[in-house]
Amino acid sequence: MDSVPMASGAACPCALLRQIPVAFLLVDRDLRVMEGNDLFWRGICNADPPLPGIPIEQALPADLLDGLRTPLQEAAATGLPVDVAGLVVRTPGQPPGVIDLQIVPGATRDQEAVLIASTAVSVAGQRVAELTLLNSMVRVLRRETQVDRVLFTVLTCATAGGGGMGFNRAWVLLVDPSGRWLEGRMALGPGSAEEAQRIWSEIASQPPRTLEELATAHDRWVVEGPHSLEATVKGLRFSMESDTLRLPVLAAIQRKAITVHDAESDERVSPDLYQALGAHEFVAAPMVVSGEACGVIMADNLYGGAPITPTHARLLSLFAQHAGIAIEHAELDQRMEAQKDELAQAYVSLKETHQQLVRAKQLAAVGELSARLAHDLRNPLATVGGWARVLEEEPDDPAMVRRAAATIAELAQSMETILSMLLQPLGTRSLRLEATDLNELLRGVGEAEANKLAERGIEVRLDLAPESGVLAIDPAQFRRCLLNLVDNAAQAMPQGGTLTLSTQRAEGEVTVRVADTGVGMAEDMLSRAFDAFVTTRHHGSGLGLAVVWDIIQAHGATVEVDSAPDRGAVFTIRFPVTQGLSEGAVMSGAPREDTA
Amino acid sequence: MAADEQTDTTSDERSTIRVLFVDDDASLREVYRIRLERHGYHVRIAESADDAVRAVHQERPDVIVLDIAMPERDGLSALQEFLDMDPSLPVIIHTAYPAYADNFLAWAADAYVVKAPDLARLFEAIEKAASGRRDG
Repeated sequence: MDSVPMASGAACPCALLRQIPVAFLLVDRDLRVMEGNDLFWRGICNADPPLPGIPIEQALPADLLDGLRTPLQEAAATGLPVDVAGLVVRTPGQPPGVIDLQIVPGATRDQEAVLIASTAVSVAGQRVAELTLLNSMVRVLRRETQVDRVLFTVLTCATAGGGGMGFNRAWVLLVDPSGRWLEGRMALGPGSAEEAQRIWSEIASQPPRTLEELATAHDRWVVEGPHSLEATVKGLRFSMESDTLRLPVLAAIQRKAITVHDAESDERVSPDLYQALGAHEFVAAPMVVSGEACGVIMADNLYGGAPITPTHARLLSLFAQHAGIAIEHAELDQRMEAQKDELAQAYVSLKETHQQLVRAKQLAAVGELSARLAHDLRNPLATVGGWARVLEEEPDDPAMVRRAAATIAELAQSMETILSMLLQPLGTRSLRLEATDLNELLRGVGEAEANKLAERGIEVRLDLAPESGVLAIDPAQFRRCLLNLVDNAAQAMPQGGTLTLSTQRAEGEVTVRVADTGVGMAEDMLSRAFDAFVTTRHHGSGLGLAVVWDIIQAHGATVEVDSAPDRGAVFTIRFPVTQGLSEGAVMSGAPREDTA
Repeated sequence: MAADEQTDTTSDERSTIRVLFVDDDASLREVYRIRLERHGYHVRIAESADDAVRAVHQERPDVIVLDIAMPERDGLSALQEFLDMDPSLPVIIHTAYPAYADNFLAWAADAYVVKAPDLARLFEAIEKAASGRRDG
């Protein structure tokens, strides 16, 4: 340790005392500087020794002063020594120092005095200080969610004197998505010694700023330009496969911080890297997430020249772990945001596709409908037209005229029915509800159809439960519905068979069944039986069962079909009922309101 | 007889043409039978594809006028069977549904006539098919 000339007028009891390897400061009872050694002023305060007699407020760094104030008062009040452990002292351009102090009240020959002495820093105190520092840095880091913001905050924490690690410069390299390259991403620090001086004096002249404030002042710190540190770092690119013996890849692979003290001669540093950075001493700390390095933080003290101690390296290494996690979180966050956008995009296009499909389906339905309509009308038209020609040729044959007129009238009616089914759009039905005797309605339908069906070899059976009672339904529409089911059944029995109309009263419901012994339906047809325009028959609009469905739905009732090929079909209509008046049942469902 | 339904053949020639008319629609069958007979053809009726196949087995007609859309078994499958039986058997597809002409099975038929009150095209097709049969 070099000897430093004593400040003039100093009253040191022994010049030798200044040479002891312990930093000390002696102050009088008014807390004015009496005597201090070089270790104290340069080692702890990073300042030249002040003149004796000036108040310690003007001589000591703010951190030290803050840490000393209360213990000094305590020592003065009690007259007993006070220990201060793990005091962090920060000065611009220097890594933070962690010191333990002992304050000893006493007296010199002529006056009361207090001795402030710093022995070696205790391990415990140093750890506490490190953890405190780390904790405050990680708190700032956690607020960032964007990768670039996280990187900037990482570098701010590495370089900030107040609350940070106080390196002169720091930069980050990240492993690219392929995992094959380690690339320079961002740097923070002065581009030259002059700039460093300017920044430090600016900082010194301003009120101290918190880490949070520094981390949000991106534009103030990043100096861009062809010769900036940022530009240099962005030009760095190392192969994770072939640069494994050299820094910074070595630190990433070994997953531990490496400090280089003589970069020029250290074979772990390539000449190119040394030339690019210009620093003899630097530290490289890997950012490790889930056992894999995602990048490396590097830092040096190029301008201030402060040595990189194992403490600083360890602090940077610990911090790098948190930085890695923060970067990964930010990347995940960004990926999730991107995926969210993709999902939103996919949803939009799915919706568009769906709309196109709906339109296509509607067009197809219209096309199918018009083709079917053309087909259904052409048959009766050909017949009607044929009879008209016959009448034209033989207007005097009374038998022929009667036959023609009857057929023409019948076919006109059937064409009218086809059209009326089309003109009543499904789902717009309104009901005229009347108290209707269900059995009577079924009997009427059975009797009206019996003769026509008998001609086709179909026998009609009625199986009506007497207690089925009176329901509030639209008799005309329900009759339409039954006729459609009867027609459907008749079509299913080209060779004849039996049609059974039945009613049944059970707990909470009245059921109406229309059963045939016809060709039945395959399973795939069953599920589509009530869809509009679907038919197995070559005649008919395909609307009959859709109309049934519509009418039954409007009544708040349900209809289902049970069938198998060659096993006939049973259509079951269920009206929900509550036990009503003595003479019958009352519907408990909610039929659509009559808007007609 | 309406002028637009006149054809070049004489009624003697026509009376020798045996037409098998196949359709599932009863009232349509009735009026077609009347009109085809009045035009001079010898008409036999079938109500279904199977009925038609039976009829052809019993007696070969000169022309088959075949509906396609029929319950149970459609005309196209019957057409297949007729041609398997006798590839020279003339078959006229007679349908309400013009789109069946797109079905390649229908291409095997000698003619494709859409049902209409005016039978001129049907008569024309019957006579052309029948004369081809007689000549061939």
